[in-house]
Amino acid sequence: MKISLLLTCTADLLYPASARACVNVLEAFGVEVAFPRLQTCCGQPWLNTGRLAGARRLALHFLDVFEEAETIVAISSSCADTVRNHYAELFPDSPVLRDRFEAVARRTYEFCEFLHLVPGVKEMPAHPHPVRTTYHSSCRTLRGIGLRGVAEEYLEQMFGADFVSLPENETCCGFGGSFSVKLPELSGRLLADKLKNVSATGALQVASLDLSCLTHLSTGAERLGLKKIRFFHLAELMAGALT
Amino acid sequence: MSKPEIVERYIRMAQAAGTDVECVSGAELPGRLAELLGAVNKPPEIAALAASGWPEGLRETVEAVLVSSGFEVTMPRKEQGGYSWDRDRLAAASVGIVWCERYLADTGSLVLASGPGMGGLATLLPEISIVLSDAKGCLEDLADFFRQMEGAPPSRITLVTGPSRTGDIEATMTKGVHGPGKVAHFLLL
Amino acid sequence: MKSSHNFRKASASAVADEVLGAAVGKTADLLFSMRAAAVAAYPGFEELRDWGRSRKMEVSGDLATFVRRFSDRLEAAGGAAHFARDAREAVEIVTNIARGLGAVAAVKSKSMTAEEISLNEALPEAGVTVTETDLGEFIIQLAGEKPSHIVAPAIHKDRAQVAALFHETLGSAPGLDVGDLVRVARKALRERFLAADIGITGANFAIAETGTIAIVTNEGNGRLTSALPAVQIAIVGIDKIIPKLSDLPGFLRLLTRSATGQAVSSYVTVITGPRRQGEEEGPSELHVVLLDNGRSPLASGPFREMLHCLHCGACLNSCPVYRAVGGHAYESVYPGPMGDVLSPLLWGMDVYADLPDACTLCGRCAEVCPMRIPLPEYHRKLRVLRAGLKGEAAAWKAEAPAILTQHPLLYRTALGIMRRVLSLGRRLPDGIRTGLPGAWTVCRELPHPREGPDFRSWWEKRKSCHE
Ligand code: SF4
Repeated sequence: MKISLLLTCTADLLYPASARACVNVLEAFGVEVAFPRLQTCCGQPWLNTGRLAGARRLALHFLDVFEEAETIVAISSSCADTVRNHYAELFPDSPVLRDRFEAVARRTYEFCEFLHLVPGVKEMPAHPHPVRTTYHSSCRTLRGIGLRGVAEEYLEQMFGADFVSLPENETCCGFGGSFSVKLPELSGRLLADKLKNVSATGALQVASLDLSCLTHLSTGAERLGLKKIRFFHLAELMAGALT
Repeated sequence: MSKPEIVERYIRMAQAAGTDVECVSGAELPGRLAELLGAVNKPPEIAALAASGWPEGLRETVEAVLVSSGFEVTMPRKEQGGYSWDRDRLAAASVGIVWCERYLADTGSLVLASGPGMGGLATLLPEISIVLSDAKGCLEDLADFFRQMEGAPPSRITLVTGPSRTGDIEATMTKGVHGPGKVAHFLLL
Repeated sequence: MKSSHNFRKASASAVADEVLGAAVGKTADLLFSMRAAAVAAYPGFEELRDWGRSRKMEVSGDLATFVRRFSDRLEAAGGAAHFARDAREAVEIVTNIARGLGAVAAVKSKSMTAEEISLNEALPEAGVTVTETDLGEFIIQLAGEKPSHIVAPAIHKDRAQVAALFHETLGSAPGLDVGDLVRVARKALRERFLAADIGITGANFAIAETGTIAIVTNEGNGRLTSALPAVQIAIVGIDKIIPKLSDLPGFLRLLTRSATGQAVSSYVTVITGPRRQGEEEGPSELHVVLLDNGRSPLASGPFREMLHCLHCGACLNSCPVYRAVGGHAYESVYPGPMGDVLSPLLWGMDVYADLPDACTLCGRCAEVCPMRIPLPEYHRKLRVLRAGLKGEAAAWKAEAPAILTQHPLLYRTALGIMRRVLSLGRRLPDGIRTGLPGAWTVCRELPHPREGPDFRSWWEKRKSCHE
């Protein structure tokens, strides 16, 4: 089985280790990974600020790069959500393009969702360094991709009783793309609430499937002086358990 | 659902909504009513009573219990134009008693349809609302009621489900804000 | 109407108010969880949502016909129908009725539609004093404020604040608890009910088939307002229309479960015309003011489903932004997700340009909206609309970085530079750290790339090793 990796610009810029871990985990489950080098950004910054001309450009570029791919696996939920749920509607006047985008959308997965649905991974080994861990189920993972409970199950297998679920885990962390800089005081308040819940679990590491949320949470934690808590893409913890 | 099952469901739902439901026989009614009235602040008090809608003879029975319990009774008076309440006496009443033709199992709601002398306000202004019905008045739900209703709707249909309540201060449920704090429903079986 | 609303400023001061945050959070959380429980307890709820949407689609697809049908049937039942194109016309209709009657006192049950036309400010000019009778609205009126939630208007006040307010304005003892406060309000309001010449209500539903209006309350104030005064005036947005009486049970289920998590509210009053021959209850005159105020044009546009809104407030309770700031920061009658969309549509994008941004696109509102209104999608669409208003130059400025990003080599080069800059972290000069990305660093540090080689170099190296 062969997939094409959608690296996402966030991983490209900030999270090489997460991307490496994704590749390693996929390969560990017998998946062959290709990396189309010409890929750039999925275009969310334009899509979410109403700049559709820019969003269309990047959607078309994505199509150029990925249309031939058998299966596409995105490292971050919000990018998978963009491809799956928003590209086609950018082209209301072109039935042909719509069809092509819809076809690509059907072959696109978020990383954890892919593991669960396609190779059908049921079991993660116990992690060699059990540390109290919690999980931030990002809004796009929950409501864009529709993934509930899967990551939590893997975490439970890896960390046993050291996995604790996050109170109010369906509430937004306050990132929201342009929201984070247009309304920074408000964004900061939601961030602080989220981190308060994280602290309450006593967790030393937080896993997520959305790198944008992780950026927001980790830099927020740094500002608030929460030095002990570390933030990871779920794949990094899986990679640790698999070696 | 069979009728007894529907009635049972009504009782469950109405009680969950805060209505006190009690099944009584015709013979038990005066005694139970008197007991309930006895618990109301010291008579002489005023009781507002519906003038119409009652099954044969029941209004007179209820009126007799009210009087013997020390209540003055006020009812919509019939004049040439139709019925009207004595507003001051209605406003001063501490208890209101009406007959309720239909009630709904699904939500535990009473259905009060308007009509001359039906006395709907007696279920609204006094602190205590007492409502009487029989078993055959029980319907499954509001849709059932609308299906059975013939022709155009009456000028007003009021569904009453439990006491008047508010959660407007810190979402703390408090009874009896504008309407009755207590709704007692006697089912004549 | 205010010139232009600055949500960043308003929200920043709201998040700093801890009493506000705690009070709103507490009630919104409670309403949210009660809704969740009520919906879970009703197995057919998802199908009911689909059904409700399809019934409302029928109405919004032919709104003018339904409005006409409603008013015809209302008149046939002996009521008077009035059309108001905008707020000014609506106010004029109401004040003319009041003047004609020589009315001096009105009681009012909660109506966001009346709030929308600022009726409370206009009636005193016509010589009529208005008393709000919903407890929450009464509190707001005494405090001289505006409601901050469409269902729970005093959500931003805690009990201590209400006790102090009643002490000051009604002369009650200081420091009363909730039960006593309710009794104080009951007594004060009962007198007003009995003395009022006019009862002003809204309506939760207007039924076209029969000209009927339905009013839902828990306190019973809607019932009193429509039953005691000799004249009732209902202010009804034309979006409140549903086709048939037989649709009412389904819509009531959707509304009350979504609004307060109740299977049904304490009182549902279903009114078809004024009191009839011989009856002793209800007004002898019933006026219904059908308010358009920007609604009709929505029916044929991209925001059509906003006309389906039941004003249940579920989206407010689910919204992280609303929960953090409460209603006042929105500076509109309609706060929260539904307000973010409605306010710019009804009062202009120039006034409410910021509100489409008051949303993280988290999607929770769409999950709870009983009418399945695509609220996050509507926020996006409004952003598109707004971008379109900014003109060519701005559009070009926004598109230019997309052209760069679309080009793989330019993209990689730009990313490489950014990576190097960010790697400097705290060694960056302050001007760069807090200057350009200033908004980011209000509550966060700048991100720094994780250790190790960038992914692309790693990939290339690994590939060459494998080969
Ligand atoms: S938009 Fe939906 S959830 Fe929000 S108030 Fe309207 S009906 Fe309720």
